[in-house]
Amino acid sequence: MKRYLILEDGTVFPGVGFGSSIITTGQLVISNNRTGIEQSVTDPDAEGQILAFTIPSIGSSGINRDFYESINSQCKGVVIGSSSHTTIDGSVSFGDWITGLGIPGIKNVDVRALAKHISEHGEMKASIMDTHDEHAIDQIKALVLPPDLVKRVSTRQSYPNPNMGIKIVVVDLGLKYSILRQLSYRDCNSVIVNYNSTPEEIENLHPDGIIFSNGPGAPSDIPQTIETIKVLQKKYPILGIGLGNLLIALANDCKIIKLDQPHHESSLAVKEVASGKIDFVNHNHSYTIDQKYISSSDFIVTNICVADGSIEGIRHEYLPIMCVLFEPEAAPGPNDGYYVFDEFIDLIDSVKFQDDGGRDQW
Amino acid sequence: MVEVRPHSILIIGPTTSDKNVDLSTAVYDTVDILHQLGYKLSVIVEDPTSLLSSGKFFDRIIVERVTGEHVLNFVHEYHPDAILPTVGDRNALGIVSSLNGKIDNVKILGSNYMASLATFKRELFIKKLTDNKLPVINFISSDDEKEIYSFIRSIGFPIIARRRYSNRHSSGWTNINNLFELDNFMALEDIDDSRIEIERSIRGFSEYSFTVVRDRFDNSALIGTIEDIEPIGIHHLDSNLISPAISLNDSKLQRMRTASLKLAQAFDIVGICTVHFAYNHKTNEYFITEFIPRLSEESKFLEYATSYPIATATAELALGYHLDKLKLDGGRGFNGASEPFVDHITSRFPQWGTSAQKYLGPSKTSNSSIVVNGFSVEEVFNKGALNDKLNSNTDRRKALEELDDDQLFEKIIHPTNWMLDVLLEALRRKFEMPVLSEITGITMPYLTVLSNILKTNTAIENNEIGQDNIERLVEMGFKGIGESKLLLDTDDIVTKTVVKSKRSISVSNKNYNNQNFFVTSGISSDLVLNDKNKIIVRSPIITSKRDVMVRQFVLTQLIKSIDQNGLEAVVIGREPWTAPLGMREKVIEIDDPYMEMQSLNLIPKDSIFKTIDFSRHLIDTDDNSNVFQISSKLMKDITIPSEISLRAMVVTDGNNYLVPSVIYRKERDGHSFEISSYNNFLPIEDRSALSKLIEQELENYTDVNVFNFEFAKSNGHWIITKVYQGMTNDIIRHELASSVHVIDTLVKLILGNKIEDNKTLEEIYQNVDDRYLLTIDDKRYNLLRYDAIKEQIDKIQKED
Repeated sequence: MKRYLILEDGTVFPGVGFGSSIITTGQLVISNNRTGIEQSVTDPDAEGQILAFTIPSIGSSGINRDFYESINSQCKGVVIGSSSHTTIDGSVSFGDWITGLGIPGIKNVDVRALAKHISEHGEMKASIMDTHDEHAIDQIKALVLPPDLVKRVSTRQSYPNPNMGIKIVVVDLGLKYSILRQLSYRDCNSVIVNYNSTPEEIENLHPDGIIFSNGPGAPSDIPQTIETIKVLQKKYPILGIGLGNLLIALANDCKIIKLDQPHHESSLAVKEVASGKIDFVNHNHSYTIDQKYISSSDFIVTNICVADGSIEGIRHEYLPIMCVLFEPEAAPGPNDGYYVFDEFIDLIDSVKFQDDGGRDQW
Repeated sequence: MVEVRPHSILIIGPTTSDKNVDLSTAVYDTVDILHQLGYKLSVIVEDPTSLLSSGKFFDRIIVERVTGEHVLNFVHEYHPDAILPTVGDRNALGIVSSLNGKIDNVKILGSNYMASLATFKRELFIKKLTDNKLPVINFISSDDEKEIYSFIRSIGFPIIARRRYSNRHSSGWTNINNLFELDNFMALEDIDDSRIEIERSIRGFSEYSFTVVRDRFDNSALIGTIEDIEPIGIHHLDSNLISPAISLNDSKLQRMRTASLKLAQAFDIVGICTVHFAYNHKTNEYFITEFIPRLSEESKFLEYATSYPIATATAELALGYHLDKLKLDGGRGFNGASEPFVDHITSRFPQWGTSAQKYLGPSKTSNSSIVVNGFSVEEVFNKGALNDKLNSNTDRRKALEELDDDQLFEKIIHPTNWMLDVLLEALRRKFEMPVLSEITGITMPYLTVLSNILKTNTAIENNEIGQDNIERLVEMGFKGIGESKLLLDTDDIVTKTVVKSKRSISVSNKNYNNQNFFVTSGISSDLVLNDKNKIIVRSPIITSKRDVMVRQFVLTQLIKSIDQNGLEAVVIGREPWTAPLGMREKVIEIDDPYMEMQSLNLIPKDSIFKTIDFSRHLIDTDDNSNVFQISSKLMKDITIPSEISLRAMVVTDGNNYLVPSVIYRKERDGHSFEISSYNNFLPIEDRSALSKLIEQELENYTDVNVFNFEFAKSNGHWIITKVYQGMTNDIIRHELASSVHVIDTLVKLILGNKIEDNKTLEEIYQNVDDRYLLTIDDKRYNLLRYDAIKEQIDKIQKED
């Protein structure tokens, strides 16, 4: 069935519909991930987004449910060029998988032209529809994207991810399972809590360290979490990832800016400023921290994106706070960033060591 | 200690062996950038024509057999600071591994002794990988029966085994699936005279190759992945290749990426490294089967598929550049710390010189290859391996249709270069896909692709093409094939799938501050033209290594000349041409496998100044008035036995002509000698005699053209024996040895410039170059100076 991807600016890309036949609207995001369709579609960061994949022949590698990053799919639609009709491992085909998830999709789209258009005109809303008249375009323009994306994806109730190691509270802003997987590999005893948890609720869990996770939407949508960070950062080692990083920056008077070219790529290089070491890591963010305000803050820049020079990681000068904007847990993408979890645990250990020596505050 | 950077570099060039792949563009890019960076370069090479340039980049060109001995001689005589072996194919690594301890402080760039040696010595390779906990196939070489049986108990069946005899020869590998077969193998010969080598069998595993680059600061990037459609057991370069590897999920891709980077680190390779893997998708076992620490066919293919300037990056990394601070042509910065992703599929289909079926196995049998682009596997199959215009698939189908099922089954069991056609026929006869997959090791997605193509072919044959299934046809790249005229009539999809320009390789990077070439790289349906007049060059399909060289050389010189003369070059070919890096922004490269560009009118006619046809098969235009045929056409052919002959290249504007280069050829004692450019030595009476003959012959031609004349001397008189209109393979020798740039002269004449009237014989035969090429038995060329060549000629004539 012929369907259309209609952009907010009126540009229309024709294609063939697959998956659910419902009309869908959301923020259009160009994903340059080479692999990891399962992770991308189930990533809570994709809440409210229509994902356009630029890789060809999607689905040949099969669909593996072990790669899910949340219980269900999160995105509102998928746009692809071509897909494979069978898989190498005999698992369900991409088309059937998308249909099973109830997500609308559109294929045979000139994704290269689409990617170019978005890179020139910026991210925008889009819709997958059966028609492409003016009325449809007006509807998209008038649509206001919901500001409560984190609320939608964050866990409503706290739950444990038990183990025998150090205790980490993970504040779920749109948590990917792979963060928990990485913590489990390191024997961390973690508890996952709602984004709206109060400082007291978190403190009552007696954490050794706290992670503010990745998540969808803009940081300004959840001011209450910024206030929580302000209280907790003086007492606990903190790791911020993605949205968590942006919130920590805002809690410390830094400014946030939108990237000219958003980072949605499973293998983009970041450089560790201190050593010059280059790592390839998964990126999925449209915002970064404004360089201008860093020098007057208590943060130092630890990582930058090699391609555009934007900030990808910061560290507090005297508090045990470390943050990265990229996704160290990969999923999808290279595992070059796993060291971030090790460093965080080292940070917790060093703080604990100092505590044991008699220090109880910083 | 302060490290001294190398100043003078010896490049170990390619040999003339047909077994080696063509790396001429990589050689050109390498020397181009090193020259620009101010290094003093020497090259040792067997055939200077493979350098694609007149030698301006080099301080010294040593023409010798490329061996360890000659490299050592050079080192002792000229004391270079470093040796670069990465453009010299496998032979260069063998030389490097033999130089250990013999070249004092001379650095080896790009590879090193250990890495080079490990590509030849399996035991070393296995030990190094095992030490670094990298997955390598279990292997034993032993003459102890107990040890052998114990090893097999630990790894299980199936295995492969062979005998290695004390004279270093070995038997072929035998597949052994159980104890009974093993006992038989062991009982075949007495073990006393041989060692038994046994490996875990990986037959039927899928094959992948990962290419990584690494700098001396231990930063690495995965440049690209390739998967073989055929399984392990068939030589990688005889397999149909697909890039990127589409059958790998994230977990598999990352495991192999990590292993590739770890291997490059383990061998401390600074530059490029291609790692081959065998992967079993049923058990998720995988092994590293080999690694290639140099530029190779894979890097050439990936440079096309991803637009990453691999050859340039490899040279700079070897010199110590930081991965994210590389330099391109003209000093521009390039961030090499990019792992390119692509939005299309690039495929390499091997080609054989003959139409007969060839059995495929571990040894390479193909002569050349064709590279195609597309957005789906169906599309690249249709454009490449199943493109009737390239492979005569219709004839293959007819031949296969005559086989009964048993005969067809035999062809499925024993793979040949017709495998995809055989599988199509099997699917046509309703053979079960899982069975075919099990037997052939070709995975289900590819069989499904063939099944899809079959269904669509049937729809076309039954005239069932309509608006309902047209999109499906477009997706599969059926556009433009005979019956599907409807596709060509549907405007909105014409440009979507036909024209793939490589010019627009930059999509979302224009605001990136360090000149990334790409974020999305590769093909584009956009044709971004400037307002200059265009010269369209139709490039040929290549069928042999010699063809590759001529094509690379002529196209390189043509594009350079067209650009220098103020026009825009558009190269259109059935398969894409990869220009040397420094030229890529000066040319629009269009992949047009069905020769449809003309009918699509995508380049405004009034902007096309001329079409230069180098394709030999220009079939898509009726309008030949604006076409300049550059490929040779035999106009005259007389056989006259003669020991001395001359070959002259003549460029004419229709009135006057130049003879920029003459090749002197002499047969003596069953050997042939050739010297170019002989026109500096031509006696005045010969010049005069030849000129008269040329003038007579050109009387009937009034247009700009290039001719190749062959003369023989019989009874003291020169006679024309052959006349070719257009360029022959001699063009490289003429161009290299002549101070007159023949191709540039030709372009200037095409643009309307004239050769002055009343030129003297001296001016007609003008050539002030002091470099010459000497050929002996078509094998060796020497680039010599005037005195040396004079001496050689005198010697030949005196002996005569």
